[in-house]
Amino acid sequence: MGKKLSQVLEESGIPLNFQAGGTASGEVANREITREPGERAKKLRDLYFQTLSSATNEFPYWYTRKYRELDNEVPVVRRALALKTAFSHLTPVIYPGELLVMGKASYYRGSFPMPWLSEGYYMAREDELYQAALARGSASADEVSKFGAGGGNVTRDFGKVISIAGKFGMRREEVPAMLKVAREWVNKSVDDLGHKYEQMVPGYDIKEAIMRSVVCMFDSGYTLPQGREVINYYYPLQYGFDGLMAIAREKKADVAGKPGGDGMTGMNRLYNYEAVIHVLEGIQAWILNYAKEARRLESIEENPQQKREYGEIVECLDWIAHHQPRTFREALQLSWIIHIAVLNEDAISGLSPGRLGQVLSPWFEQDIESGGITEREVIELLECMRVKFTCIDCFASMGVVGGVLSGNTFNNLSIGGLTPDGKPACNRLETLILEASISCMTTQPTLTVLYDDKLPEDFLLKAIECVKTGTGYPAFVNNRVAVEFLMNHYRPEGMTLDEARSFAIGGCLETSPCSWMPLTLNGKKSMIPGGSGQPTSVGVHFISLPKILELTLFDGMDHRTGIRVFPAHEKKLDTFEELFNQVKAYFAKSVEVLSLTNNIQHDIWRKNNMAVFNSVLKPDCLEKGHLINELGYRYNATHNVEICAAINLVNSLAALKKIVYEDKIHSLDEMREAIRANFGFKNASEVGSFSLADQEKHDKDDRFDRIHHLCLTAPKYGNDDPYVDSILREWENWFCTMCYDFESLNARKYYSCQISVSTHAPMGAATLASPDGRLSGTTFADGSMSAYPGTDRKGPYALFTSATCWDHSKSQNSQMNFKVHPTAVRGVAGSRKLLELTRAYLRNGGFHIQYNVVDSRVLKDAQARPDQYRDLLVRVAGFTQYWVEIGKPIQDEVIARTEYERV
Amino acid sequence: MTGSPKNNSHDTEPMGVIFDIQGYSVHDGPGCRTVVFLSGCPLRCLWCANPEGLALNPKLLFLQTQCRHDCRRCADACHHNAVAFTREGHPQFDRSRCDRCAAFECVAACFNGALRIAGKTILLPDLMKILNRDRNFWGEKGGVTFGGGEPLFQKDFVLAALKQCRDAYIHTALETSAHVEGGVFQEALRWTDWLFIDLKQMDEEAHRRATGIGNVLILRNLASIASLGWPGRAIVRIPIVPEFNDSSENIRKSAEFLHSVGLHEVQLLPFHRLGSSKYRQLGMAFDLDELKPPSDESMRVIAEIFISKGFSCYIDHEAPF
Repeated sequence: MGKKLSQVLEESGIPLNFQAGGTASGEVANREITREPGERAKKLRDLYFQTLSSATNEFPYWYTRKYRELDNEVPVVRRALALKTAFSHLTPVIYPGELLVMGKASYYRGSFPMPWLSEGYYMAREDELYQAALARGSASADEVSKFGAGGGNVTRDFGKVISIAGKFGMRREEVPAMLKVAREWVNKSVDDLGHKYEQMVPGYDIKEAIMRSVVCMFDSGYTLPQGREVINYYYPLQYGFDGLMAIAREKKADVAGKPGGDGMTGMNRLYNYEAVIHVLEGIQAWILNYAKEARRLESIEENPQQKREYGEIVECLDWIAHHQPRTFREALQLSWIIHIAVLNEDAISGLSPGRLGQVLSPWFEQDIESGGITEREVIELLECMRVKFTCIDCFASMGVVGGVLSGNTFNNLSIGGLTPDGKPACNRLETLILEASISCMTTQPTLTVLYDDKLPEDFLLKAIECVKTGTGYPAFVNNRVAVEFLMNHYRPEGMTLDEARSFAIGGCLETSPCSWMPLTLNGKKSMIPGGSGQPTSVGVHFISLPKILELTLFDGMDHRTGIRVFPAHEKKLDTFEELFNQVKAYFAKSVEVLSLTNNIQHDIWRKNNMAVFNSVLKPDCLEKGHLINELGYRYNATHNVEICAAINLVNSLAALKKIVYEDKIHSLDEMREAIRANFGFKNASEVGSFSLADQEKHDKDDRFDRIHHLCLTAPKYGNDDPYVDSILREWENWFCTMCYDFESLNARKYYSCQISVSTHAPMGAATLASPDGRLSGTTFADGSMSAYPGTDRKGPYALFTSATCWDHSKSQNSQMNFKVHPTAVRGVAGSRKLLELTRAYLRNGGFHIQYNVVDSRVLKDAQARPDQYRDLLVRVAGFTQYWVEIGKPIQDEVIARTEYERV
Repeated sequence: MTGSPKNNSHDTEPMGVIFDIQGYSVHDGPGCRTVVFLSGCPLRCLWCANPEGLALNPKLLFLQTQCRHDCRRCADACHHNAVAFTREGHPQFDRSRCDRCAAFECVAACFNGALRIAGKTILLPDLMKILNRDRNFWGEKGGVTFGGGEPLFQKDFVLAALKQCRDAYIHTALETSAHVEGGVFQEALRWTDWLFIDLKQMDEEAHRRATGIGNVLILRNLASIASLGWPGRAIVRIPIVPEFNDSSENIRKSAEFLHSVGLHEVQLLPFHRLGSSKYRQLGMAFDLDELKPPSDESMRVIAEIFISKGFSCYIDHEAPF
């Protein structure tokens, strides 16, 4: 049998499981911080561990039924009434011990398909609808994506449960209903309708080839049309639902029949307000159904404490269904309801609560001062909130949910940052949020510290303590860099410095524009932050840069699928400049066709499937009378171009420059031959591992040893080597600027977004070997600033120097994942040093850093014995996930990441 | 004893030999640090974890698992006729010949990364460039730590480096065996802010058996610190090696001696075998391959002896800095 690369490299000069700073200690090191949640949250979390992702049909059934009834109604009103009908027919289920109640659907981890967006992907693979999706490329990512088979994922049928879309279980008897509802939307869904029109874009054939060869991971308009944004809880928290409806009615009367100087959309304001009222009524009915259910449970409950708790739930829901919350608990409950109402309105991942601790602080302070609640009780509520957020499932295709998101829903809660006048914005409630996140470790909400040098030391060290639990949160992002990005990008829409300071992270890592809103509680005024922009990671999703290079080398042909993706460039690529320029040209072509087709998809979405509830939450829709589809949001320049594996591209370019163009050791043809032969190695899927370290060679094939050696030892990013860092800088300067050449459907400029989420696995799976020595089918480098595993051999300071060779404020984000061995951060001194490391990276211009505090050997053991590790959490790329719910390619990549420690 | 290698005539900058530089080192002094590992050591401790740093000249490391065994490219490239092959086709290196080599053509010839070099020369300005880069990441308390090997084995280079660091406001730490001439030791201390100084064994003969040299110079240097009025902080490091120095008698004597010379901060480093693969790669024998590391319990017992005598004593990485 051929040798394993890791075996070979174990003691070599190019070890793949390299530990900068020396070897780890002989013993497996456990994480230092481990704490347990309170009794109540523990029970609820145990329930989560025991439940499975489950899909229902209530919502799509009632939505579809009403929608069909209202043929030829004004689209926004038709949509609103369908939503109202669906919301008011959801079965309320309350679980014993819950303090915070309500969920997306009746199951504990419930969700449902939205066939009006897309219906083909969750059909059986044999079904013609699925095959049609595959043919047009919109299911190609599904084919190369993998879910973790453990945890709550239902990846296979069992008993009377059918696995839908690779992750969700549905009762067998409900499947015919699901199919019937799905077929109602054939040729009407955003997917189908968008497809009809996107084909009219010149060069559409290139787009389809791009999707089928997995140059791009997924479409935007019908998959997850919203999300990666910061929600805004302000309006219901300020006015209550009754108050909001009263405002909408007044506004309706104001605008009825008046274009208001806008002959195109002015008249629409009437219908928009009408729609808003319908949807608010639907959500109100939904809440009151839960109140009714709580009342029923109260009447039959015999345990006096549980009976009392049901009574409290009744009182809470009855009040907040109508009015501004009076207490912290009511405010938290209402925020949760707002959150899942938005998630039920549209298929969304990455709906971030934003700076929730600052939003709820007025109630917290008031209740603590009056003695209405204790900090212990607040922590209990926050722990319950964590379980609730963790139960959120997002129903979308396997390529999206598995391949991109690893099942994660990215409800990112930001803490810290600055106030409008530049003071530290962190508060006591945020410290308790950290406490609850330490005691109740779950995937959601993940946390992000908006780091500023002004933030107090005790707060930052509490955040570091939380990192040491090994959950991977909080991540740290650079407040200054984010504010600079926002000021630059949103200046045309009126962004000011004060307002820029209200920002928060949407989704895993998307810098999102927000606003300060004036809250009045019992006569006391405070400014609270909340989202005021459209979804921030929509547009062109995840272009695989190594694949673009591969296509450049092979003149536009994808040899994995045999598809011609781009027209042949017919260049000889005689110089490095010519090569680099052709990479840029193919990339620009991809952005062009994808931006045009996705503009159409989003436009189709907004015509009939516009957000009504999410819109009215955001400034300034209520004031203007325009929703998301008519640019009612304060900030609309939120469409982006996402890239994946820039580091593999840069390393590959450096290797080509050195080996082919400067040292002239091998010709480009020899390189091509070596790539097609995978340097004499077997394919990753054949080997069953997606980590470079585990790849196996074909016996007796040494034809490519020399060239592979040269590729592996060519200059690599992450070592403070100007040879390769200068290529990164050139790429960044070009890429961050070229996005501005493209116009979103909102007639605003696109911008650059640099996060990998989980796309580096499926995209790696669809890419041949690359000139950096990476082998065919193996996972790419994660994030955007992390080094390729094992290639940063000069330690973190050299890595940081490489990472900050370009201006991060030119991009919406960048991402640095960093694995630290538990012994490196042990004790108080270890905490301080981790904080120093964090500060150092951010002060030098890095935008983001996050840590996996874990011993790789624990992870390897967990891979072998997943049943022993149900609650093991790891950080992937902007999110934290249960180990057992992650697909193997990403598991392999996390294990292979360079682990920093010094013994 | 030798000093730094000779500079090229056209170059007057101090030059040293190092076998590694590590950033974000968190166990070698206060704050986050960069550790510079200098080659060359007068001691031959049986438990040494960095055998590639014992000699001043660059050392060839051979990684058996990496070798393909049938290509013989290393032998073809070698100008010293230092590579022979076993019957199974495994290369064997005549280390005495390798030690005379400077070019190491074999390393470049190997496609499988089975050969590499530990130890390379570095000019002081180049080292300072790295430190000046890294200092942006250390944070407030960090700095540079010179370790090895025995850093003062290259006294000219290290003294020059320490002085330049002082001029550049860089915090310096020194990890030394203290087996160095008294004048050099005291001169080094002048430019050093933080000292890790080893005490291995109080009994001279036992010391000689396990390290190759006696402990007279070491004890003398330890004793001199208090009298110098040096403002820095000195941590005495004691490797705890079973059967060599872990007897209660030696520990008690060590404590008494340190007390008498006014040193009251001790860090105990339990013996480990993590360096054993490096011995294989160097073609050297590691005599302690069978020796078990001390138990946590026995480490605590030893620490207790120091603590009961009023010392600050830390086990391994539990040190509060």
